[in-house]
Amino acid sequence: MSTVRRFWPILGLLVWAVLPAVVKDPYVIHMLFMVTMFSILAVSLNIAVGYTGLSNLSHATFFGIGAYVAALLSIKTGASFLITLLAGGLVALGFGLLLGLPTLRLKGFYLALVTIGFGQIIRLTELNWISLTNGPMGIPGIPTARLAGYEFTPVAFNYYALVILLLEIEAVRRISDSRIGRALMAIKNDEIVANALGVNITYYKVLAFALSSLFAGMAGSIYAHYVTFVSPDSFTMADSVSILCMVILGGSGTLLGPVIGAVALVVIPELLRFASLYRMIFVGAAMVIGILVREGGLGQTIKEAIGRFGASLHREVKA
Amino acid sequence: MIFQQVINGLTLGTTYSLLALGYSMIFGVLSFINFAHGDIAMVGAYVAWYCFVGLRRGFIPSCLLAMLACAVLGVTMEKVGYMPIRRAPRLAAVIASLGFSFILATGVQVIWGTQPQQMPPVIDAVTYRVLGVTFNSIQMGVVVLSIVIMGLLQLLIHRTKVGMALRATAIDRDTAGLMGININNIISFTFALGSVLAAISGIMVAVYYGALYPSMGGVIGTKGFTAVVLGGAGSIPGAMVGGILMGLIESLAGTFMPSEVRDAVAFLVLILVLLIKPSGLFGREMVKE
Repeated sequence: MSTVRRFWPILGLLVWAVLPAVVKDPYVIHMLFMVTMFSILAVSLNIAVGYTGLSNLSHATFFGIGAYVAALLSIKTGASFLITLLAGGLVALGFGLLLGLPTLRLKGFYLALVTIGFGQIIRLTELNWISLTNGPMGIPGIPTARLAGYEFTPVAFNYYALVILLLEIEAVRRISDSRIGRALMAIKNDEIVANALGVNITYYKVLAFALSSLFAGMAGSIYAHYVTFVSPDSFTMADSVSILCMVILGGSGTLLGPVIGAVALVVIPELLRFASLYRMIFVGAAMVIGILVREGGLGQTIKEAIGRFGASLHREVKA
Repeated sequence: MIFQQVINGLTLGTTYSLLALGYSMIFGVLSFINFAHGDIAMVGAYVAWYCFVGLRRGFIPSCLLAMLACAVLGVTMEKVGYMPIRRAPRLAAVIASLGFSFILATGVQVIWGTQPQQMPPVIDAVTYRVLGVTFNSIQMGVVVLSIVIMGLLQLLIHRTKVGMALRATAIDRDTAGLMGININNIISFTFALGSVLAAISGIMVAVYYGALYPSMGGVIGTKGFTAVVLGGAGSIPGAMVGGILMGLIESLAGTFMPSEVRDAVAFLVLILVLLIKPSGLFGREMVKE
């Protein structure tokens, strides 16, 4: 990697690491945390969507499963946040296997539909299994994370999430440079060819799906301890769609693209909060325009139009 | 009791069929599920309601206006959002359609508010009792009208030139283009037709329940695309049968199971069909990607 290509990520990381320490505004601290949180989610979804080409419209569901596991475990047993981090990740991974094993032979949009169905069934379970999940009221009073008697502040949570994000990015980088990563990308490019070359399609698809769910579940645990309250409303299909947009618009199948997508799609809707009623119109428009720029060459069209406009001005000036 | 639920399910099911037809035709020509389709039905219901109640026009002109509005909306959506990304991965089109879905649902909330609106009775409902089964003239109207529309659609698709062009485009878009079919016009026509059917479906649901609300697009949309999967994506008879089956399943599940389970039934059907027979009842075995 050249120095130029390393410059921006390192600068970004520096800003990311310094900001929570210097900013005093609790609102900004909270937004930074949400950006980091969604970066973890987007980078993990990218393993399934970007590298392997599996459509998943229920990533927020795995996030929610991790959060519920962490909430119940820490309230009922007083387990430490590190235990709930592992448990949340592993249970989400388990659900990933449960969903992935029978369904990953389905193609493209069929898989997307299955994940929608799965997400809705889990959501209805969260809403209706009152004795376990307290239904729509959610679970309040989740203990915050503490380490050796020190209770995590929002700033500490920022660093905790950032460390997990960096570990995750490093893991994804290593995977994508390895034999596994090449197998995943081969599956994405052409399943039949990959199969002919001896890639065990089902094994690698399930592996990608499971890894993706694992990190989402871990993010859920971090989130549960941070907000100390979970309810089904925090893990809806709209959230899954939002995470998917971060991956696709940020750059699916690239290491840091999803992070950029997460920064943009957390910050932009937040800036529009003043127009709360109109907000989702802008979010929807951003999705359509983002897709048109990425896939439909809208950016190119605009550039050409500006170019022509500039050229026409130039001629007028000359004349 | 069971017969009663069958009648109710049949009524709901035919409205789902009309919606499913649009999903299925669009899937046929562009190979993706247009998640904004349910919201188009919702917009249709709102336009008809506004014209009927707010502007005090007749019910039939209100419906015609709603159908026209939805056709324009559907074609615009296709030209603006889907045409430029026809060659892109289908996930991109899915995201664009979800974006449109957000825009439509929020747009209606901005214009007409988030609260549910009441749809006044369109006709004086006459209740009939035959062999212990009760049904009213609204239910009869919905079922008869739906069946007539589906019959006309079958004629259109199998007996007219544009129908033949539509079928050819669904089988192979590029080859159809080489055979001199104007693909762009056919795709626009598909969106216009699908949106008109969606408008009718949305209005029927609003009249049947006597109410309409901004999130109804997502609710009936889910039933619609589940019906498509059940019947077989891209298949016209599949969408009709799938819709009616969905209505029956939902209605019967509501009778024999607790209400919490009823909401999950559509999704359980969706997952089961995809696991057991992803091509659905009438789908082509070769599922192209």
